[in-house]
Amino acid sequence: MTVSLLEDLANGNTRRIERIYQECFPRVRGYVVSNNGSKEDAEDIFQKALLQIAVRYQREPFEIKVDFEYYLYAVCKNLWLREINKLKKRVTNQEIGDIYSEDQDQAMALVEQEKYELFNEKLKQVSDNCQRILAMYFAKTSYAEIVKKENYNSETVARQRVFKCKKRLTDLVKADQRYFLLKSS
Amino acid sequence: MNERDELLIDQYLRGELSEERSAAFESRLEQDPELQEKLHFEQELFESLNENDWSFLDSNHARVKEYEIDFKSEKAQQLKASILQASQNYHSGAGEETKVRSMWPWYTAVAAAIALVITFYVIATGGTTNQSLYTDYLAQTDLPDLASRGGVADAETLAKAQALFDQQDYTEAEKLYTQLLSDNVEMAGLYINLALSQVALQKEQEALSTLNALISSNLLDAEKGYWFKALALLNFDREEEASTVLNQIVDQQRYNAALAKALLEELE
Repeated sequence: MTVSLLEDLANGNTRRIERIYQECFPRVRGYVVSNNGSKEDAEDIFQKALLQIAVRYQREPFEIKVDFEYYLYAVCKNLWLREINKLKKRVTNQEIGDIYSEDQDQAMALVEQEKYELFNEKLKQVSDNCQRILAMYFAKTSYAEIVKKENYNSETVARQRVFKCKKRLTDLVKADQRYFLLKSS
Repeated sequence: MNERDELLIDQYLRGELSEERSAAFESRLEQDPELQEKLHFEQELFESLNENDWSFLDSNHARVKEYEIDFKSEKAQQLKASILQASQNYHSGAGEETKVRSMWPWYTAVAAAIALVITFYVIATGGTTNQSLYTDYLAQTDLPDLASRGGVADAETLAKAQALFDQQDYTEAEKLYTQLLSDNVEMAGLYINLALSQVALQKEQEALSTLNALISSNLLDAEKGYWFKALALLNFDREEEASTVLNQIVDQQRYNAALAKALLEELE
C-alpha cells in the first residue's frame, strides 16, 4: 500500500497527489501556522516535501516503516524546522540560504533529512535507559537536573552515564556505512 | 580520546567554559585534527538530536551534488508541475471540504460525518460555510487519543468509547463518555470527545455545556475548552459569539492562539 503510494508520487500521479493533499495538508498547515509560519509557508513546505520524497524514491526506492502520512508530516516538520534554523543562523552571521539556488537547497535538505533519519534510527537502538538520558542531554538539561531525575549520587556519575550512552550511540552511527556518505566533510 | 578531552568538548558545546579556557581550547583545536574531528561529530550529534536544532550540510557535499543533478533534471521539473497541478486542484475544488478517509481517524471521523452534510451545502451555496470552517479547523487541531492512555481505572471503557467514536457511532459514544464523566474520570479529552460527538449529533445546548464544564474545571487542559467552544459555536452559525471567544484566545495567548487568529481572518 505504502509502496504503491510512493511509486505513484514518484511518477507524478496528479490524482494521487491531490488525495495526499486532502489527507495530509490540513495538519501540516496547522503545524506551520502554529509555529510562526503563514499559509503560504505551509504550501511551500508541503510541495517541497512531496518533491523531496519523490526525487529520493526515483534515485533509490525505499520503504517507509510508518504510515506514509506520518512520514510526510515528519518531513514537513523538519523542513519547517530547517527554515527556522536558517533564519537563526543568518542572524548569527553564519551564511546559509539565499546564496544557494533552489535546487541546491533542496538537495541539501534531502541529504540532511537522510542524516537526521540515520541518527534517529541509531538513537532508537540504544537501551531505553540511555535513550531517556540522551534525550535530556540533547535537550541541554543541566547535569544537576539529570542527577535529580535519575536519582544519581553526583554530577560526576551523571556525566559518566551520559558519556557511556553517547559512546554507544557514536559506535552505532559510525558502524553504519551510510554515515560516511552522509556526514559533513 | 581521553576522558578529559571528552569533558572539555562537552563543556565547550554546552557553553560552560570560561572565556579563557574556551580560547585555549580553540587554539588547541587548530593543531589537533583528531580533536577537531571529535568536536565536529559531537556537534553533528547535538544538532541532529536536539529537537529545535538542525544539522546543515554544505553544497559541496558529494551526495548533495548528486541530488542537485536530480533536482535539476527534466523528470524533476515534470514532478514539480504535477505537484503544482495537484495543489491547484485541491485548493480550487471541493477537495478541501470532503475528507473522505484519513490517517488521523480520530478527528477526521467527526470531520467526515460533518463533511457529508456540508458537501451538499457547499455545492448549494458555492462558498465557505461556517460548517466547512469547522471541519477544516478541526482537522488542523491536535487531539489526544484517549484509548492509548494507560493506567486509568476505566481503560477498557475508554478504549470502547474511542472505538465507537472512531466508527462515528456518536450516539453510543456519547453515552459512554457521559457515563465515564459521571464516574469522575477527569480527563480533558473526555470532555472534548463528548462535545465533538454532541456537535456531530447536532445537540447544540449539550455540546456547549460540556465545553463550559471543561473550561470551568481544574484540569490542566481546561483552556483547550475555549478553542473547541469557538469551533462549536461556529458550527452552529453563532459567528459573533465564536469571534468573541476567538478574540479572547488570541488576546490571552491561550491554546491554539495562532490558529484562532487565522480563523478570525477568514471570518472577516
